[in-house]
Amino acid sequence: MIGGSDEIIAVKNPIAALRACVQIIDWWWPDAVFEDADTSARYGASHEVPLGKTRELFAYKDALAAEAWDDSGAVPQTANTMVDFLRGPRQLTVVVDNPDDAVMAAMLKAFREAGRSQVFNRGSKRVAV
Amino acid sequence: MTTSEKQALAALLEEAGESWLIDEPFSPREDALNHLAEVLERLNSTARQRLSGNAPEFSVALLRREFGDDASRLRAFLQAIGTTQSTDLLVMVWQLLHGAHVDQMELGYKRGTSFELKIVLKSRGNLEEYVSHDINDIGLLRHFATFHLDGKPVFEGFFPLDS
Repeated sequence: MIGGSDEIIAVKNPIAALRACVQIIDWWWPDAVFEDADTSARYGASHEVPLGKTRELFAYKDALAAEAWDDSGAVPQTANTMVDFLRGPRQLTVVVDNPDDAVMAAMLKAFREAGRSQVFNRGSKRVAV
Repeated sequence: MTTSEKQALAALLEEAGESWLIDEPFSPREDALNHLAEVLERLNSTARQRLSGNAPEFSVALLRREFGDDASRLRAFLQAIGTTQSTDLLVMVWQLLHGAHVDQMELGYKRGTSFELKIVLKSRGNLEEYVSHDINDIGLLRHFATFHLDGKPVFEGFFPLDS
């Protein structure tokens, strides 16, 4: 990603928290496309992603953005059109291009707040990279 | 449900860490498994009424597949089975776990008189209404995350509670 920023969300159940995050993605990007980073399998709906088998998940804004990432990778034209989720044993790491971009900032705020939900039981912290 | 299917269900509950469903409050374990088998049977009937052609066939095989795809999703569903007596609400939980969102929620209560929990889901563009008058079903609300999207309040679910 282009000078990406990592957000670490500490949670007891990162798979369930990841599900909340992809539901949040749906809100801003209703045509989002999801990709398992390890298998390259793509899914057109968040609930189709087998999250329990997914270690790293790319969420693209839409199919066009996914194609652009395929064709060009991290270039200025693809900035802020993809969110990268990495699942750890007790945390989720969320990587975005520019955390100050309006949509990215709003998404990160929602990820953070959802992560603090009692059902997930833990807070979050940001680390500079 | 056959005896071997019940054994497979018991093994799945152990693997999922939700064997409390058959360890307690029922005793012996065989009775609990019979009860779960009966719940799944009623659930199939309710799902067919509510979802017609889109109804899944609830079986041990389906639950096993669910466990393989996302163990937390199966755990959430099993915990719901342990929380509510209503197969209608279990259909709601299943829908939430498979792409539906909570569109509206209403809670009404008068001490010693009445309780009503109404949840409307939006699923594939359609609205589905689920209503409970059993006050114990309030326990289902613990399985929702709450946050804001664009400053607007959101309930999102359905998630397992960790022990």
